[in-house]
Amino acid sequence: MAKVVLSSALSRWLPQSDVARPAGEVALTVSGASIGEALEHVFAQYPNLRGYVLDEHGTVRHHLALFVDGAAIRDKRDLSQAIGNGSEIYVMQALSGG
Amino acid sequence: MSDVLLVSSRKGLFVLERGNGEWRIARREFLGDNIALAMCDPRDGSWYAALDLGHFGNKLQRSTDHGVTWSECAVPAYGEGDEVGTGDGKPPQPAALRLIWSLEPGSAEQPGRLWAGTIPGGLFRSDDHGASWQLMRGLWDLPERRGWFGGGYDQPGIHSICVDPGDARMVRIGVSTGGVWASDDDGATWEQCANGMRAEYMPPERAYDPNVQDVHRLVQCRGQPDVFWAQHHNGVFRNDGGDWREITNVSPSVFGFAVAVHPRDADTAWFVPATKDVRRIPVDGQVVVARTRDGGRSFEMLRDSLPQRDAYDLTLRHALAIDASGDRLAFGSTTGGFWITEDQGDHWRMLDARLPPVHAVTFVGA
Repeated sequence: MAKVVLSSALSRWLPQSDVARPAGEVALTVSGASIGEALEHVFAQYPNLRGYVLDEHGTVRHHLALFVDGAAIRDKRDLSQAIGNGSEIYVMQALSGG
Repeated sequence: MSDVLLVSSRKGLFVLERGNGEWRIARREFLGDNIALAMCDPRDGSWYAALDLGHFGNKLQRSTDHGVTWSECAVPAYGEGDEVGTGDGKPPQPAALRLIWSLEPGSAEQPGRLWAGTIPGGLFRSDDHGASWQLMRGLWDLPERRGWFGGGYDQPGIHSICVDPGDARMVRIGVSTGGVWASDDDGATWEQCANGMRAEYMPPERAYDPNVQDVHRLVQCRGQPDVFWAQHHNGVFRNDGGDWREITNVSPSVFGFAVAVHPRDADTAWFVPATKDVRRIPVDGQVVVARTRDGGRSFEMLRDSLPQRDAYDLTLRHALAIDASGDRLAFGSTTGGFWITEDQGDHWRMLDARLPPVHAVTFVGA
């Protein structure tokens, strides 16, 4: 299992039914052997998040950063990078954008 | 008359209400978020807000309770292989939604129909209140579309959509930069109709090429739908059917972004002029509104209670609105100024607020 952490700027767009959650980062535990598979499990839980993280072609948005076990992914079009049991994926807004 | 205004700004959607003769900010929605535009659907009273979130892309929200609660709709999306080719020499790029730049409802006989104009130049139609969107291939696949280019943005975009009040199958769009296009069959097929427009800045042999015209804003008179007005990069144009006619006597400048036309009297229209075109500030630091009541033969400069010294307020293309009565208008600026008139511009009142940069203004029920 991997941990996917959504920054507070992202988690605030989760559906209104979840607004009772405390504000701030949201950590989800999901299965998946790659970054893409892990994200798909997140999107299965929160379908609207897909368009916040990926554009319509499946590329990580230009002003979004994905850190996997502390390292930023190198190719925003390629989410096939393998992850291990206990990997941590941080999904956060890049400081270049906004 | 409309007593509610939606002001879309860089830092939220502001709901203005009129009470006891005064306008005030009644509510603040999406505070801190970049709102590109808002639209009020006269068919069912629902409100739409297009959000341009810098990190997370463009979103569309809908409210069926006048903005108290919102739910997210789908947004237009480009497909694999869709490509943006432009006529100004930029290399082709994969098409992806950059901005929802215009949003208009269909007619009462088309419940659920919405039109969305986007950057990078695709027009989309929804027939289910924004739950799904279809790219109008008949326009997107035209070879001329690859001759469009960006005006103010890197890529071209559709900023104006006019659904004919008499026959909603007839749709006209304004493109920056790509002229004016018309469809008479619900968006299936299109033809260019910017003949007569002139782009002074282009090489002489291209100046009258309809496909390069930088239309800043296109509006249609509801009561006289054969009449259109356009604020163009190069000046003001009017169309009564046939070719466009250039109007050159607008004081203090023919340059600007916004235009509004009276809902019943096509000869009455308003503009917010600016110094062209690299400065884009009010002429002499004075905010004025230009009004014609004779179809463009003459213009009055309206300046009562508008700032007349060291004012650097630029009004963007969607930031001037008129209500259904034709008496109330409102406009906002990129420096957060906001003014409302209730007598067609003879007198203005400034909203007592320092707003974020204003992108778009619309009356509810207009």
